[in-house]
Amino acid sequence: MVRRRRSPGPLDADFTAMLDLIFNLLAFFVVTFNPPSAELNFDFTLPESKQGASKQPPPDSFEFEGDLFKDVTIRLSAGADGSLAGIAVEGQKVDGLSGLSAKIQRMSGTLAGMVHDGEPALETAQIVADPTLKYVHVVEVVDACYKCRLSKINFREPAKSPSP
Amino acid sequence: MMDVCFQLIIFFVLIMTIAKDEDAQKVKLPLALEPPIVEDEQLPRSININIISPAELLGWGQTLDLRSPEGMRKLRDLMRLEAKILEEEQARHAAPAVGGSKLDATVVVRVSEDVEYEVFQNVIALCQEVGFQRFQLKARPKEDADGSP
Repeated sequence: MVRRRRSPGPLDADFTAMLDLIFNLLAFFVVTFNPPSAELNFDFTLPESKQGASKQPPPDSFEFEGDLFKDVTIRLSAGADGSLAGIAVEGQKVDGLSGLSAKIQRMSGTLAGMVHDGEPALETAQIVADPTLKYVHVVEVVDACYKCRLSKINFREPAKSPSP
Repeated sequence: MMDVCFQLIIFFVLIMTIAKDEDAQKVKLPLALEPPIVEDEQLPRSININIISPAELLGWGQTLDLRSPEGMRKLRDLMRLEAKILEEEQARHAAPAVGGSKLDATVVVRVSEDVEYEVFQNVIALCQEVGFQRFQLKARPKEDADGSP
């Protein structure tokens, strides 16, 4: 007697429910996905700290090379709520951030066309601010310095005396 | 089975970009226009400092009060430890620091926009004192004004 081997029938697996679950999970994670926002970088290098160097008050006089200046001191004064009350460049008040940019450009000789090989002569911005000034205004000033191609920035100790 | 595997792969690819520094997400960065370069790459050697309002530093798995002498002391100790590790690493690899700075590392500073200048400057001065000279300040692009924390 010959027994015929029955070939096994095709497997009937129902994947529909599993696929639905997988797609539901995928949709959940896609909807709840929160991509992180892009960030801008201000890169700068500070000089090596000497003993008490950063605690010295900003110099009253500035260094200059002929008609062009190497360092510029920017003094920021704060209002009662930490807002930016005034900006002074080398002791002279300027009108807001646009005034600051214009002043820096004048000082570096960029506007006059007196540049050294296309590079501005100004090297470093020394920022001195009132201790209660909000950081957002510091970044605005750094932003203005970057716009004037002044990327070397030094943050000095907060001014103790109120700015004039 | 293959569908399940593909879905799991997609799931983990999405999760990878979600897992960012949790502390960095808490910092409300100020807005800026310049510089135009936007990089989201991790620097080879970087130390992340996150400062949130009013004067709390998030880092090394702890929260430090930067207004108290104790908090500043702890921060100084932590930065000195980081500097020591870097110096030993540099000595081991006999690799001179790049850019003229003593320590071949960048301090990435994220500060919330309403932190006071004094707090920020104290942290920068402390890092300088320990020997770090390269810094990177973070800001949000001005188009990104949706107020996300």
